[in-house]
Amino acid sequence: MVFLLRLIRKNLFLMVYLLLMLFSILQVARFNIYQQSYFFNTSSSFVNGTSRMKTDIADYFKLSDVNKALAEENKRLREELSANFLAGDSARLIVKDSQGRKKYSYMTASVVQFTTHLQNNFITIDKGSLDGVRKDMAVLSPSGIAGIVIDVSDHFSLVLSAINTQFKATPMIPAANFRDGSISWNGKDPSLIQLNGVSRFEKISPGMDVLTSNYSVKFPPGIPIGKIYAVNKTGGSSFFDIEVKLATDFRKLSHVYVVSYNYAKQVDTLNRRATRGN
Amino acid sequence: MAIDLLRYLLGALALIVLQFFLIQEINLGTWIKPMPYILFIFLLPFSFNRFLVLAAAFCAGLLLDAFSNSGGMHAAACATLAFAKIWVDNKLLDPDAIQLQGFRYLTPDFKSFRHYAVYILALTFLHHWVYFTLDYFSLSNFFLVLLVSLMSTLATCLLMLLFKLTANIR
Repeated sequence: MVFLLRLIRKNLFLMVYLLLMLFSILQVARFNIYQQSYFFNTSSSFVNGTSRMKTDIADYFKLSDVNKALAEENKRLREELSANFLAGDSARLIVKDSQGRKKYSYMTASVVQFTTHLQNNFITIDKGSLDGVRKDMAVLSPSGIAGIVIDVSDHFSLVLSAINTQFKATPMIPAANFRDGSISWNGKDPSLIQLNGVSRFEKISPGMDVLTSNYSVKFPPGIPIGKIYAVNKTGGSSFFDIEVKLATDFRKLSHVYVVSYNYAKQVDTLNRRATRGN
Repeated sequence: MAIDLLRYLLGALALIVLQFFLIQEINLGTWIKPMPYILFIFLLPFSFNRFLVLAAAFCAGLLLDAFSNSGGMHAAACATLAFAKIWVDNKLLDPDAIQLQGFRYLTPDFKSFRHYAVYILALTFLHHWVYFTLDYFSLSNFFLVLLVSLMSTLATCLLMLLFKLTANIR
């Protein structure tokens, strides 16, 4: 016992250091397994106050870009208004009205805090569970995808950014009639995301639009992911290495939309029943 | 002494705020992510209580982590830096020189600038290596982590030199 006490006293400093390291590495590890909530994040109000101050200042510098993005989005939405379309055949006129059941609902949120310099980047938004935000909801920017909600507090939510190495999405390329592969980020350039699993036989060229696919449960179909930036062939591989220029500029993120899939619960129950059956 | 302490605390706070508000936001590419806020650990005098130094470094790191959603990356890196600095100070430095250090004398009594540069570069590299290892969090990126740490170390040291020169002009 005396020996033990002496050992502790002799190496107290080292032990304190090792304890601190253990604590921080556990934080990082828990942070990586993002299902669990963790001790220090931007859900606490003090941190949020300071972070918001920073975004409030930064927002002024982004104003013109944000306005441009919103105007661009307005233009796109206006062009989709049914009044802009001529009914081709009066016998088969399709009337779009609100009688159908709504599949996706949108709510707006402001970005409180975000990073782009890490491997695992997150976005904090100012809507929480009291506003109806739930885990696994998709988050869109005015110009494209932004991320997926992974943690909610009463008034804030933590969003797994698309430029996070753990992010996954299912893409489609309508111009090449392609619906396969997966989108993920390799951690290098925050303006480029990678499209994997595209066979070399697909006719894919730079400039094509990459959208979210119909198979995606979280994201509504047809939301822009980006444009194909470069199509590379690595020797021996039967797949392309494709770089996609992100539609969303994550450095200028300011306003986002949270999308709730109104049938998420039913799809979930079905999936769970199917896996239990196996 | 009290004024020196106050000045030091304000300076440390300013460095952390600068890191969070400005330096983190600047995009210098994939390889270069400078973190000159660690200057505040280098500025501590040798005679300081080592537990206090470790705690201060850890808390500052944790503060940055909380703000930038990075788990405990800064905290772990800063604690390692503080630990290594204390070890180097105690084992490798001339104990007589330690008595001379105070807040006012920020440069250690090294024989030449070259030695001081090696001291700073090595400790900064250690800090960056721990940070980026936890950031990438996989062994498959070992060499990438080394490269990023090396490039960032150079950038950090340049910025620290710049800060020190501008702060000393007054």
